[in-house]
Amino acid sequence: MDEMTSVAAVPESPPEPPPHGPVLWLKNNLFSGALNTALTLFLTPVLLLSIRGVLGWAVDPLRKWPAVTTNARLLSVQAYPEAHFIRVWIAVGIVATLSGLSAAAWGLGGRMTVRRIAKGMKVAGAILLGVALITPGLFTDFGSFRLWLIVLGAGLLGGGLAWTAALGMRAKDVRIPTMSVIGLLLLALIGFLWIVQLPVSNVLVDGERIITYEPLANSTKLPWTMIIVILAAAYLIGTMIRSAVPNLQRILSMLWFLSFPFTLMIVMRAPDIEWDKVVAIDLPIFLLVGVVGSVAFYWMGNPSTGEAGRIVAALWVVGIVLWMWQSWRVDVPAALDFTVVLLFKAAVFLGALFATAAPSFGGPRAARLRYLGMWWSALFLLVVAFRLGEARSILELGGASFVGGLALTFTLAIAGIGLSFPLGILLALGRSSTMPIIRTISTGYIELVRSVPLITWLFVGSNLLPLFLPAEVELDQVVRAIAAIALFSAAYLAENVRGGLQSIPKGQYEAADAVGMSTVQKISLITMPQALRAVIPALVGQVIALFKDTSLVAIIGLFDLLYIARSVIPGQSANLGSIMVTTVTAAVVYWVFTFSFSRASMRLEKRLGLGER
Amino acid sequence: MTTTIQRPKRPPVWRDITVLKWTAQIVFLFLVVGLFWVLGTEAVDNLRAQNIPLSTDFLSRPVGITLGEGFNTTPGSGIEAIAVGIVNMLRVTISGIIAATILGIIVGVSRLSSNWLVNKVATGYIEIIRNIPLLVQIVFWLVVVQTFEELTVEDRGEGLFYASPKGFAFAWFRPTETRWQWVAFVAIGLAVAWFVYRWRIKIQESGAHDAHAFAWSGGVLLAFAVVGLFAHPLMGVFGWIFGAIAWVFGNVPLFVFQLLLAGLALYIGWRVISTRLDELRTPAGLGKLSDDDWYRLIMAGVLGLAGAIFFLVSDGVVGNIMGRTPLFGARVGLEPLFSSFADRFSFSGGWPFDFSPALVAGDRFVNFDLAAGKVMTPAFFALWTGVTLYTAAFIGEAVRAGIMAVPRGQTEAGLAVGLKRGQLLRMIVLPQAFRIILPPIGNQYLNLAKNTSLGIAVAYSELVQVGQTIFNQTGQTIPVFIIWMLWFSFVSLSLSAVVNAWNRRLKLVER
Repeated sequence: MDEMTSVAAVPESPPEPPPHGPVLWLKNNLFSGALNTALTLFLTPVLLLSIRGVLGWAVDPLRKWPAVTTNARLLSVQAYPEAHFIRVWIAVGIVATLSGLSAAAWGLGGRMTVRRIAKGMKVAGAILLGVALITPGLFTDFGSFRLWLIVLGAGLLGGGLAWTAALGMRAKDVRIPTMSVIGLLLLALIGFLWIVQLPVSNVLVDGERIITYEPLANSTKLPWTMIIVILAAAYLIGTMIRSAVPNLQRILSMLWFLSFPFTLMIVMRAPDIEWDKVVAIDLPIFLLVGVVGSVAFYWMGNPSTGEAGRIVAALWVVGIVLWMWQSWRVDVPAALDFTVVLLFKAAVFLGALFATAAPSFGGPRAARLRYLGMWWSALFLLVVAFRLGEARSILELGGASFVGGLALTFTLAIAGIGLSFPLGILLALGRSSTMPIIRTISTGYIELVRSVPLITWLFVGSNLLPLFLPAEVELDQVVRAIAAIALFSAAYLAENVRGGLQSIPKGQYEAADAVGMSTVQKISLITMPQALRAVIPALVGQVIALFKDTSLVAIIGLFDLLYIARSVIPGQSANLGSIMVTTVTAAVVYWVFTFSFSRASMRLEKRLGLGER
Repeated sequence: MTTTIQRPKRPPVWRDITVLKWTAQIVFLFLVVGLFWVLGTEAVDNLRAQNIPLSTDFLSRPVGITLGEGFNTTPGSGIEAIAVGIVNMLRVTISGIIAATILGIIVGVSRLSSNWLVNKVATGYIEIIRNIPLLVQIVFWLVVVQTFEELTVEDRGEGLFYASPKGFAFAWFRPTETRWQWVAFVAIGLAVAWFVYRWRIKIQESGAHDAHAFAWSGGVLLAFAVVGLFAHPLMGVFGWIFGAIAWVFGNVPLFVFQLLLAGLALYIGWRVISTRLDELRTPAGLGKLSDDDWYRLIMAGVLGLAGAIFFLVSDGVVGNIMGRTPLFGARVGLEPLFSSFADRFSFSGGWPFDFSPALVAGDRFVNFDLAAGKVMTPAFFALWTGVTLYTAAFIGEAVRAGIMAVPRGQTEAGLAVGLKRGQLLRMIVLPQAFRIILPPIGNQYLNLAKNTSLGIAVAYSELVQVGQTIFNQTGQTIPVFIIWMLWFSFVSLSLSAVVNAWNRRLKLVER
């Protein structure tokens, strides 16, 4: 009893804050022991000198930076026709709109503490000041540039310090929406676009170099401003409709999925649609196949239909495959527009795919009607894509069949990953299957593809593939590269997915069997979603690797970012000897994208809580 | 009351899962074979239309190409050109693996350094290198060399190191005739050092004191290296041994080797079957075999038998392996290999290296002629630097992850029993970390080997570049591609076999 009172008598006091301060930090992190002190003393001057060297190299007037700034358009989309450039901007605008809406729909951002923002300001200010102080030759050659840097750096540093000082201890409690910070940064970016002077034209007149300075990207400042405004507007609209539209996230995912072929179509083709063909060919085929399919799938999905549905589906598949096979090389009668046969076959083939899945995804009336909805939309997309692709394009891409530059890099990466995904999943299923022949073939494919480097597969695509195809089939070089990249990447993807499949507890399979699911249902509803979720980090890593690997197409002569930077720009008469600058620029562009991808994926992993359970 | 046990009714044929599965598989097999058949006929048609008959003639005939570098820059036949390409590829791969491992370990340990500056420098290195495509980096390094200043006549003279847009030249030991004897001596030293290491470890495990196993084995190795400078003529014995082996491969009747190889194939097939059956055997006897098990067993048997028949029938291939009959006009195989080994050994003495300073003679420098020292071409430099720095970043991450994965309790336990910091790392942390690090590092080695194919972008004469040159000359894309595939598969398989074997040795034995 006595003891208890004596314990209670001790007055409560908050725990002592651990000692901190800059001197202690230095002692702990830089000078803790002889070895660390020696390392610090050695590394500091080496580091400062190398940073000074790199910065001095960059601002040296001998560097031909105009080679980059004057060729910014070449680097991004190669030689795109001037008159149609609005198409590129529309494509960028679509991506901006979707990004803004998605940011709102997924509630990205949240709130940041003042302390973190102030820390960012302080670090940025200190870096700017440091750059201004140690860069050699900045003052003489870039006019008031150094002064601007110092003012900006000091402003940021001072602002950050003042803000934390004003709030004191509350700095880590006061929170500000992240999006407002990003909005301010975007405003600053717009200001930057309109103010900062950079060389935009670079010509040799009578042996004398004439460089014109204009605000950065003078011809694109208005479009970029518009894009930023669209981005902000889309975000605001998204926040407003997010509560009104319950399945906004699902709609946006679908739109993202469609945005790639759609933007590609906008940029690459200006289809001259013949409306009489639409009425005479597309509409009848759409309605006929659609209605026949609807009736069939409604009947097949009915649980009481049973075996007959599957038998009809199997006959359907066999029929269309045989039909496609026998007319592989048969000439279509001239009287009949060959597009009719092609479109009809494609539609029936799509129907066959839907028919095989119909018994698995049927059930009550509502489920079957939903399935019919999917069928009609898929068929609609097929017909539209067919007509848009078939129509003659009035857009001349200046000899090239695809846009080049950074746009080509992205096209290759997105198309490659998009195509390799389904194939990779199938290969993973094949390799982990209990059916020996299918397993052997899948394993053989995966191991063979993985043991040979990508560049040899690109050579297969560019030199060997034309040999294996009928002489009348002519594939574009870019398409062949995409095929090679997709087939290559699928093998790596399959191994990642297989890892995910192996991580699924056996109980999941048994539970699915216990409730009477078919194999298709078990894979698509139970195991595959879990497997994919488990390997998201590996998949993102694969996407990043694929993005980097697209640079290899420069070796087979496609005009991607690296090829233009390495071989095209240094060959221009005004830019001879600029190869170092352009190569470094390409490296920086790749780095910015890859680094942001990897950071975003780390955030995604944290958000999904992967690896934490 | 009687209960009748109803046998489960067999389902109708179209619902029988075994029947369905096998039908589906056979249909799939037919589709795959059919696809290849269609593609193959197309290829034959197209080649006939282009008037390029498929052949491997180019392997034995002069191809008239000049290579950038290698042991023979003007190869007399296709197979010679390919051999040069393979050797060049191996040069980059092996030197790259060694350099990337050292640099990667430094980077990985730096990432865990308590020194803030070291830590940030390592992190910055990894984040920069990992996020730029390797090809861009290789191109960058080539451009760097190209921006060096040309050497002028004033640079004539003697020096240790020169750099110019045409590459680097630096002083180097000039090995003499007897170097291989010394290398063999050191190799024996390595083996002895390994036994000494095991012996010291045993002492350490039985007693409580540190037996300094590393210091002992290192000392033994050093002793062998020094003694070997004088004692290497002893290794002339190796000349006899290799000569005898070469004689056996060259003169024992061929059918003996055919029988031996056939026996080996059968033995491997039987081993696979018996281990598989042992795995399936339960205390209650052999369980019911699934059709997948049957497939594996039958395939192992069939493949073993097919291998045996192949070796018995095709004396030509066995002759190629032994080096009796030339392969595409080139004398390759075991007999020439061991004869060439035998030629490198004799009982003659002398220093294995020429210790007189082999300075680069400036007036014989790359600008004018080949230098006396070692020359590194811009292409080799760009490729080697690129793959080394790139792989080192990934190895660094693997090393860091491996060390971090060792539970903290292990370190604490080590400290608790009074180990010093060095001992703690050497005896507790590193052995456990190594087990985790090895598989990812093996993967990185494989990537490095494959990435050497990017040498084509800087015109480094490795296999892919040589192959491309050949098919541009001859139009024989398909054979060249098959050669690529065989070589890279061989490299992958052998590298992963080495890593797997090592991994098995290190694996924890659980229960």
